[in-house]
Amino acid sequence: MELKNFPVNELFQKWILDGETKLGEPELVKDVLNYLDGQKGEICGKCAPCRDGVVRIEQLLQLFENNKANLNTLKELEKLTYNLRASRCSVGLDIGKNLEVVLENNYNVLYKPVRKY
Amino acid sequence: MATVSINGVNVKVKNGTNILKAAESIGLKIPTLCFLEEVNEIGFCRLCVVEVEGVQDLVSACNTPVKNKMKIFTDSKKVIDSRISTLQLLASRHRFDCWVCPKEGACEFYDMLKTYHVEFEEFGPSKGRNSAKIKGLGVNQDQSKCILCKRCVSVCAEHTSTRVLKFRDEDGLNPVVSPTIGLSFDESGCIACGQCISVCPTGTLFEADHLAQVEELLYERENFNVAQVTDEVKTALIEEFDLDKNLNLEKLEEMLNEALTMSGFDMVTNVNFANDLTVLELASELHTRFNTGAPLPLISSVCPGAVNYVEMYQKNYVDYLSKVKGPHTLLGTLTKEFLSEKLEQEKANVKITSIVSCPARKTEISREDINDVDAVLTIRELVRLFRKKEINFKELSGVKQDSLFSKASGAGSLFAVSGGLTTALIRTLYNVIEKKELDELEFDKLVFTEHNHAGNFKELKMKIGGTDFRFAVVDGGANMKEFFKLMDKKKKKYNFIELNACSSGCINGGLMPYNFEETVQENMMLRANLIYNDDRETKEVRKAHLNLSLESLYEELLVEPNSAKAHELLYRNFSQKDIDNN
Ligand code: SF4
Ligand code: SF4
Ligand code: SF4
Ligand code: FES
Repeated sequence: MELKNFPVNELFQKWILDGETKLGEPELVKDVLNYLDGQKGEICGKCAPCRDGVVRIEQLLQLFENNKANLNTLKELEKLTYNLRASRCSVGLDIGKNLEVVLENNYNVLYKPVRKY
Repeated sequence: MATVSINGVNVKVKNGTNILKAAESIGLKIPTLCFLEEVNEIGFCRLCVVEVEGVQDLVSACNTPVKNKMKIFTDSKKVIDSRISTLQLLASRHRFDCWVCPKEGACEFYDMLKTYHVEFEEFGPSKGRNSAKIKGLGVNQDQSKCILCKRCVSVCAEHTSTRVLKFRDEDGLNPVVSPTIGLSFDESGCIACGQCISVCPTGTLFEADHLAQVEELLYERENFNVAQVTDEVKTALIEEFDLDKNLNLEKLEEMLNEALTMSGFDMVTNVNFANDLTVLELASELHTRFNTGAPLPLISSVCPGAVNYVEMYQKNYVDYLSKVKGPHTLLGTLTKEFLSEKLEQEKANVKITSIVSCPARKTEISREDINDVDAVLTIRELVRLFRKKEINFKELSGVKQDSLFSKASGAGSLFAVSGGLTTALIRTLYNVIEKKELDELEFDKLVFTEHNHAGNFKELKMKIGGTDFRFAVVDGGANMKEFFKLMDKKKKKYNFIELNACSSGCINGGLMPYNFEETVQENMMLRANLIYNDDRETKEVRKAHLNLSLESLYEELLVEPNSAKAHELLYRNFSQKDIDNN
């Protein structure tokens, strides 16, 4: 799936409405990173959960992309995603909601590379 | 009224009350980092977030009003986890060097990290958010520590009205708070009131350091080091060293003398002596202007922050500023010109350090026509010096000051509180004009009663020599701005205007000990009462012109107020200043 120009709302409609739709494993992280990249221009910089949180979430996803993620990476990703609920405006809140959907629907994809057994 | 439940406790509060205040009413203190009541209620830091039943997202307590039947949880796992995550994020872009940080242990950010036991693998000195360090003669900024709470921006706009500091969010992922990009604070229109420093919850904003220089001066054996102390600094000692609240100003002064002597100063002088002298010169300046029909009002130039303000923002009024030097610089001149000879000291070896409560006095000594004060320490720098000199301040018994420049009247003490200078001036002006003593020594309208960030201004009308004299006292840049607008618009006539860059005067100087919301009112009253009690109860002489040590100074050196000699030594000039405030 070519995501760079994919309308974000449509994408998330797909993710949210069609809970069964799992993104393909190889693309998942890349797709989410692309999505975040598209959102960065909207971030106003006023609150930490969104301004600093999104940057950190990107770093964590890059660890997945580079096969360097571990269980702590996943845990931090979950925490920071949830913490976007503390954002000051809808930009952060929406990114958070969308990421929550990603985590909910694709947890196994992210869990697989960090599991021990 | 609304009834809400907070952590299971029902509470009734007025409609419109925010969650933070509602929680406070049942003894809960929700943590805040960006919040400043009435000044910065913008919900930036997200540390005060709470859970509200039925609401998906976490809401900020500091700017969310309660609704009837709201069920609020301030300490649920989700709330605590969120606060920890947010603190971790802020910490990940903060340079930690707490042991040399100018915040000196009074760091709200550090306290919060501690409260929530925040762990973070990249802790330790890191690069921080931004490596820029902005220097100034009074105010400095180290952006590696900024947590972008915007308190300073709001205070600089709301309290000072100068809008020097701005939140620059062109790049939302890397916003910065700074004065005009590429310029120092002084070039960007900063009046050096220091109010931004006093509200910064981290060590990002701080005063220009003079301590290193003072230590050098003290090491040099040939130097004759003189410390000049102000009353506002004495009032801060109780808070700073946790002393008995019943100590009076005289006792505090003695303890300070002892500590300064132990630190290596050869002599301690009292800026109140110079305050008395200022009153005499001001009374004469005002009387002369009044008699000769020279333009009035006379605007006080005792507060260097206010002088900066007039030179930059009220340029039409520059010629109305009193030409008498600020008290501590005037005292510096007299010490070098007059006292050094009496003490048989080489003038070049006499080194003068003033101890004050704001960065504006640091900028003041760099002015072209001010060159007799060598360094200016704040109370916070002084505490660092005492610590290094191994002085246990609390245990000192105190030594009386004994110099020609140590005796002062009660009027001299009043300079530290808003309205005090005007009170002191009226006591003497009356004598200058009426040739007799004024019985009434206090004017209710000028007395400080409550600390607030944005009081308006005080006015007093008084008949002296058959003429109605009109006085005004204005505190804080924002009030000054409004005041000058009003005066111009209504063509109001005043004879004398006292300007203070800080609300409540020097006892609330930007570099006094840090005050937290809960203690600010109590501490401000404590400081103010120390000053008033010194004037009312301790001082036998309460009028500047009755200070006998001044008499001998005039006899031996200055001849009389406003004399040619006084002008040569004690007067200065002002100019309009251009700024680049973008
Ligand atoms: S601002 Fe606070 S946490 Fe940061 S270095 Fe200074 S004392 Fe430490
Ligand atoms: S010192 Fe005063 S004028 Fe200067 S930036 Fe701070 S608040 Fe603004
Ligand atoms: S300089 Fe201080 S007060 Fe201003 S935004 Fe940064 S941390 Fe907050
Ligand atoms: S204190 Fe409420 S958001 Fe900062």
